[in-house]
Amino acid sequence: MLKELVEKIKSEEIDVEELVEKKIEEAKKINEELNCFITICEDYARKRAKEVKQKIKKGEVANLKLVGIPFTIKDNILTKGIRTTAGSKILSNYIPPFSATAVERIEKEGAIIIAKTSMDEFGFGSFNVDVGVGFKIPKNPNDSTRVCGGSSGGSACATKKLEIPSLAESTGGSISAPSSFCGVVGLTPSYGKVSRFGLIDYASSLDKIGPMALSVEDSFLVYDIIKGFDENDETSTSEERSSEFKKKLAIPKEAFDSCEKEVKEKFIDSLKKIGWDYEEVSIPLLKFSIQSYYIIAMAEASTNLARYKGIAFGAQENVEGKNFREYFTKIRSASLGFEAKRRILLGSFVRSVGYKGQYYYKALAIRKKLIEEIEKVFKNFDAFVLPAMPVFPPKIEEAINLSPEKAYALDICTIPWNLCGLPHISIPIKEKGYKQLGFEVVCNRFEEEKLKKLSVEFENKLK
Amino acid sequence: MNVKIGLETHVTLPTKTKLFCSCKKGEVCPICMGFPGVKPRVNRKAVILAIQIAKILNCEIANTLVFDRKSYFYPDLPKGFQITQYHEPIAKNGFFEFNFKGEKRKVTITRVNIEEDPAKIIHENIATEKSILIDFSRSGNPLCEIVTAPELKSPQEAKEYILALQEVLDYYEVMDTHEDAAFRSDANVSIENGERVEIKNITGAEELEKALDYEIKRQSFLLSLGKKAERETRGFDGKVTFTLRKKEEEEDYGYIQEPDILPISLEELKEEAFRIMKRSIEEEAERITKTYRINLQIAKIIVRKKLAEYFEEAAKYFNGYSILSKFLVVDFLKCLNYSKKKANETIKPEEVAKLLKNTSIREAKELIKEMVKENKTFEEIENERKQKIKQKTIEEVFEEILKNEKVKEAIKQLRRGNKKAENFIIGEMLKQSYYKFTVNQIRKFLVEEIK
Repeated sequence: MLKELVEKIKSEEIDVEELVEKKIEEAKKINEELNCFITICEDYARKRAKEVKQKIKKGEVANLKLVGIPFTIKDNILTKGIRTTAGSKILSNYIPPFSATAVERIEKEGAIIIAKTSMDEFGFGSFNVDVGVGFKIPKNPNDSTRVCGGSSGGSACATKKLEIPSLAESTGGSISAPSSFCGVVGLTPSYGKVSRFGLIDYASSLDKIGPMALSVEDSFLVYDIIKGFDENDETSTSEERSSEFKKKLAIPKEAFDSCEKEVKEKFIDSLKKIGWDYEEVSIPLLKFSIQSYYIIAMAEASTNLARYKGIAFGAQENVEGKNFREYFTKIRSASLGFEAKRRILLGSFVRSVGYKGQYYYKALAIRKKLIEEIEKVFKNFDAFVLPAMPVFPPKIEEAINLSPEKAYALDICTIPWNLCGLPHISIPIKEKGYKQLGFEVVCNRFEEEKLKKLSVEFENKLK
Repeated sequence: MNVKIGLETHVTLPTKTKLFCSCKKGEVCPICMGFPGVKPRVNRKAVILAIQIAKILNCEIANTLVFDRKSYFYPDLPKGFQITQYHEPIAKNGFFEFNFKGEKRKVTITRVNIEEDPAKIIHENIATEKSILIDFSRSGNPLCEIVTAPELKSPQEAKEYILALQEVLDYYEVMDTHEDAAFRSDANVSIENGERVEIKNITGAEELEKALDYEIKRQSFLLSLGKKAERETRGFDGKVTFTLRKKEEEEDYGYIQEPDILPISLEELKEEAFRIMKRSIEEEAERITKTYRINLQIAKIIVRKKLAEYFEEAAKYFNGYSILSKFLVVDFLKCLNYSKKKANETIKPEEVAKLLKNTSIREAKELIKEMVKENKTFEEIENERKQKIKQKTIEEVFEEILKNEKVKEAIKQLRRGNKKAENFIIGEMLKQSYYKFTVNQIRKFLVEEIK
């Protein structure tokens, strides 16, 4: 538990410099095998550890909640002075001049960043096999022939192996999916609860920063530090909501039906352990959430990535074109991965004149309608519960060979909540070997307090 | 000939900081340079100014403010998209009235929207033809785009529209008056119901007139050859318009809702905008007319030309209000225009009052020129005048006035014995000598001179 560790560090029972040194060494070692880091910022970490130690000696840390806790950060979250690539060749030498608000907030509490974690390029993937040109695919910590899930794969892998928390990010399921595959807790807050300032955009109306940790309590400890309004992000908010307990859980039929048989069985076993009333609830529109999500996400992504065209970012020497267009095309062709190109092309298509009505606007309308439908379910239920992934982690080769339709369809357990901006958490159903599964709990928007209460209880019962 | 012109005019809003970040105009930061991970923050002051413009243009103002992303690949957009308003502009369906050739004209304003300025591309002063410079200091400046229906009928009318718009927006202090923030317009032109040609990015009113003149001539010439102008986008280089993009090459901007900015309720911002807005030109002119009992038409000019404050200050020192008002709108204004100055950039109102109090109107009209041009106080001018008079002999003065053809004619008349001519010459001598000599002295001199 982080709380206890923080106390031990504060009381100098554990030496912060030694702890950080140990984690750096471990990080280097596991990275050789599992590729879960893009950058291990050892010099920075040592310098910070020294600073924190001095503060401890001076007695300036009494009220700080993360004193000396080593952290890993997904590589699309900016860290001042530490290379931040979003997993893309086009940003492969980018050193940001400022940190994300979430990073600033944990550092203020005494956290120490030791590494930046692997990810699908710009977050474009569910298995972390869609890495950028020149980047390595991270591997599952429980079976290195299998994927660790994406797009925050490196964060989940690192959390599992190093037993330290991570700041991850989800657009369509990028926290839940790898948490489920690796066996860690992954909390995706309501859209807007954590400032996106300093998060390299994938799809601005969907992106959410959230923590990964080894326990529900730890994940909420980090969440409580990073949450809340930030003047640098107009979409951020401190809004909180509460509703009465109904002691009743809903299984979303359309998502649950898509799960593998063994996944379903394990999940139902767990649900029985919890012992709450549950009911299967059908929301027919849920089936269209995947299409709606990918259209909105790709439309936004195709605009967000337009800045990487070889002027301020991604510039290369010896590339020439007879006009700007040709130059931009050459730069982008060479520096973006296949999935990124696919999403840019599709995203540009769905918002183009003549197709916008059929795709982009329809997708927005579905999102709006789905939010209303789901809102109705919460009148009678506290939460949706379901497996965080419909499958167990596949082999790396299998994932690479999946067609995009099939790969996208496997997001059915995470996309609806991400599309609607609902807070959700994936709690590991403790299993041996690679067959890890997350028990996912989804609450209504801004009901993180309720989500916390439920998941603390469920985690205990799942032990 | 049936000419239809529609204008999209970009006005820079007079805010201290940019539209989506807190850096001052002319500065840059990660936000206006489109660094990865930055998010826009809406400058509420810019929104208030846009609401005021919408009100001035008699528009329906929206209840919520929403932005869109306009995407195109060009080096002037650091983010690769521009945050603008497409689906729901902040205001629409208004009109603007102005005078053209002594007639009142009313042009429909179809929409008013807020957007960020792109960076400025600089082609000059670089070593190789292969490179350009990008000046990001303009990137992110707050712009208000004012779009008219294609109701303007000639380049001259378009120019007058721009000048009148400039005058009114300047009066209300809702436009940036720095030189580099001049109005930039895109003009749509068609003749004889032909295809619409768009001319992009024309700075100021004079250039606009020139560009439109050229384009109409070009289209007429094509018509005279039995050809038709194609639908396309053209540029203007100061002399001619030239093809930028053909219709089939037109960019699809792929607008989407701006996801980084949630819809903003305009209720409170509207209240604030109306509360702090200046009184209308009409109201202010009426107030001045009533207070000082001066002509309403003159009062309107005083207000429109932003001379009201100046007038009221001067009126504290000189109570010939009617004389003062006319002097300001005719002579003083002429001097300002001539020396390209604003009222607050030259002599204090008090000085004009002193001038009118202590000299004849005829002299005042002369002296004001130098006072405005050289920023000289009345006292300084007086001293100089005394100095000059001391130095001049009566012969020198006479030579001076001989330069005037009328005087030469009068001397001929005098030689023939025309006594009226003598009065005229004496008048001129008095004026020229700043009344240093008496009438008798001059008469005596003339008798000698004309012998």
